[in-house]
Amino acid sequence: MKLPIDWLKELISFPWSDEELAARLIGLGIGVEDESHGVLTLEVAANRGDLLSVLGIAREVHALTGSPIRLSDVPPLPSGKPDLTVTLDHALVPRYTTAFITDVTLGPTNNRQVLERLESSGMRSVNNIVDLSNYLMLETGQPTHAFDYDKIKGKKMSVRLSKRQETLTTLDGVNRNLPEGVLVIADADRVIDLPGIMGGANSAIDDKTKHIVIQSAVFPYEIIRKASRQLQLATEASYRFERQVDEGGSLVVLQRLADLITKEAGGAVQGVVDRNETKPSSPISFDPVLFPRLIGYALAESEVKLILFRLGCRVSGAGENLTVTPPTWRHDLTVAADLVEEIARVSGYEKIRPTPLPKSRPLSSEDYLARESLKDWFVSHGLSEVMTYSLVSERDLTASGLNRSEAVAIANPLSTALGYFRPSLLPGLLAAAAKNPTVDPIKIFEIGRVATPKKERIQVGVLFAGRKAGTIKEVIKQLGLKSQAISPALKDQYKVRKQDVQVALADWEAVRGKVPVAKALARAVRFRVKALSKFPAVVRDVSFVVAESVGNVEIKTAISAVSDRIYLVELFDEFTSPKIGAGQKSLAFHVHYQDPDKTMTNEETGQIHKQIEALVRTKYHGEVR
Amino acid sequence: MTKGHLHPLTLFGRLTVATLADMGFTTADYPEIETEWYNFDGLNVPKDHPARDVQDTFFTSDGRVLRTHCSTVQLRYPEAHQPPFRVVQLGRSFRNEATDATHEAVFHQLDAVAVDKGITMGNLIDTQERFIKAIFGSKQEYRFVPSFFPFVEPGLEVHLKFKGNWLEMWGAGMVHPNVFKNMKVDPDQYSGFAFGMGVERLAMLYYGVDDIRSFLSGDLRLISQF
Repeated sequence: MKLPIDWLKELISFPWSDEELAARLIGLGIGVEDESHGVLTLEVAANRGDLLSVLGIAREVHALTGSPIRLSDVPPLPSGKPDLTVTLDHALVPRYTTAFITDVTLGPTNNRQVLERLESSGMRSVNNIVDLSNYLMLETGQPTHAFDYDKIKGKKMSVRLSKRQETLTTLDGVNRNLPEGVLVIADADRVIDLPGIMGGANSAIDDKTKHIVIQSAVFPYEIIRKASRQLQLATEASYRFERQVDEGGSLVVLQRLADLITKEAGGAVQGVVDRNETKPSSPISFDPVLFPRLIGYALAESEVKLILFRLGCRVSGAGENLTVTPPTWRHDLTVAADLVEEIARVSGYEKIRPTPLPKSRPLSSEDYLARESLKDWFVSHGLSEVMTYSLVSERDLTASGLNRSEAVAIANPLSTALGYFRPSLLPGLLAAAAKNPTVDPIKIFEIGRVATPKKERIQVGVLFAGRKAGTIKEVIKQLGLKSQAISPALKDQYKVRKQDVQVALADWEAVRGKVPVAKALARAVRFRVKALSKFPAVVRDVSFVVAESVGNVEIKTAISAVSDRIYLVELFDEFTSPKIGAGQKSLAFHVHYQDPDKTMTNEETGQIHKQIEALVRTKYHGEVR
Repeated sequence: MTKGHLHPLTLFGRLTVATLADMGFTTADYPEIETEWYNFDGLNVPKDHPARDVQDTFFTSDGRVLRTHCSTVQLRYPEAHQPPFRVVQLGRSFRNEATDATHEAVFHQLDAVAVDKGITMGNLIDTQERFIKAIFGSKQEYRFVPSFFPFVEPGLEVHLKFKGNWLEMWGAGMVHPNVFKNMKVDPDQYSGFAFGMGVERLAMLYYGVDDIRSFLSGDLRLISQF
């Protein structure tokens, strides 16, 4: 929501710069996304519909400072009976106010302040009456609507739910087939309005309009929200009704709108109808001791009462028996804990003193430790850990040897390729193998949750592919598992271009306890990863003999620094032997190349490779093999 | 033999869990496919809450949901444990949203809850400060601002400053009395706090990973760097 700061200042005084104001609002829990040219862009929590107006923000400032809020006085409207019959069900419209104004003059808005404020709030000017309606919505949070009186057939309006096959062309020119059960206003013949969302073209005011009916009402948020979704039509009005408007404010806003219209567009107010069946806010029993109990510091009773009072609550009683009645605009205040938050928020969260929890040894997380230990064990045996997608396709099910009924189907999938919860890690492991065409051998594992409709469980999966895939047997023997070769057809389906692909799968329950629980787990160390190119990596090996005194890490770091297109250098072999000479060692590294913009050619990697060899020779006096 | 590599989320997850273990939190692990009760109703998320729309949550054809967070631990854990307790669940969560470099439908969530006699928001804030410093270092700038989440009251949001910008990172608050009722814990005797966060987003900031989708891609070019 855009908030022109000068508009706020018109409603309430405060001694702060724009930056300070922004900081105060953030402290109250109102997000400030931007502050420029005297306009704040605010983000309001979903349960704080009352903040979607200049008045709403002014009330928050009032809670902090106690400065009075200045709203223009409006003369009471003449009560009379307009020639209009309104029928409604109060379950659909808890409060409904209308006024009948004759002989208005439609035209462009001349009031510069109205134009400027609409513009800085991101709304375009339509005509003097619509502009004033929007202006008041921005100021008070209450959407209003104006009908052309002469277009209301039979001088009858009924607020009801739509029936089958009703249609309406809305103000945006779209002809809409209305689903059954959305809130509508109909005249004697037809639907003329989607109240709370958008008006109908057939009752809209235009250049020829003389007499108007203006409406300010409360429509139930659930009904507006559902209709807005069904119609895929969200407006400034529906946004506010969905977040609940102030049912105490309907008539005041109607009076102000009538007053502004007669000033800007002429005309005379003939009569007002206020049908009010709103329920008063429920009082909350509040024992102020809950505040220190939840927050950790105490406030004097007078302070507690003052904050609640400035928030618009009525407070009665004393000591531990306070009765607090929230104002009509605060639908979010229903239990005592809500009041605790209000008091803490207005006092400032920064007043809360950080207090360590009492020391306590955690219960041992045995299953977690056992699983993490198995991961470390796999890694020490040369395997890398993958995490693969939990959602799979029907083809993936076939791959796992399952039919549809054995997997949990997603009723509303993102796509058919993601229509099922994985019943097995197998499809993910095969996809991961295919994802890494340049890696050979591939040795990966995953530990993750899989499910059939009857049972969800943790599965352990291992995949070896490429050179010496058969060595999987030696690794998984200790876990009591057997591997199986993936068929050529299945390899084809997943585009795994490796001769030999071996997989082993087991329930975690069957594997638990097969490897010892680690005393200490490897933990994160912070570093910046190198970004991945969209193009495949190229891997080349370099091996050489150097003096044993040369550090492996030093030389690895030096190789990494040769080019920014080297993203990974891995030591994969190291040995000493009499053959290569005393005091010497043989080192072999995988060097991974990638270019952010293209697949690297042999020449390109070859050139960098030559630089690496030169580095080894000149700086480390090594002999490249 | 050359060692393999742990997945970055395993390493980062261990750092978060170990940090919380130092503050007395144990770990727990519950199903990824949940009933609406454990994922929504029991956590005071009303029936008409936007998060429960089919546009936001995956429903299974047998009427369950893929959990949208790991706060299910708040209801699951007390079924077998009496307070006081401190427990964290780190696991997969699901949201029905189109994926891009910063959004993933399948991701990890870390959710923790502490319940005891005399727990205050001061304890919550201290826990958050220790957690932030353990992950991002003692110089990390942070702030706590009031916010709204249905399962806590009062609630707050943790903001961290990166490269001059404040980012809304995660939510926290005091356990809502309705959630206490559903835990079958007496809120007149006990109080507690809860907090929860997306793990990938934190790990991206921690390691400088620029695309959230790379975590579940199986791409060994990422994993081999760890």
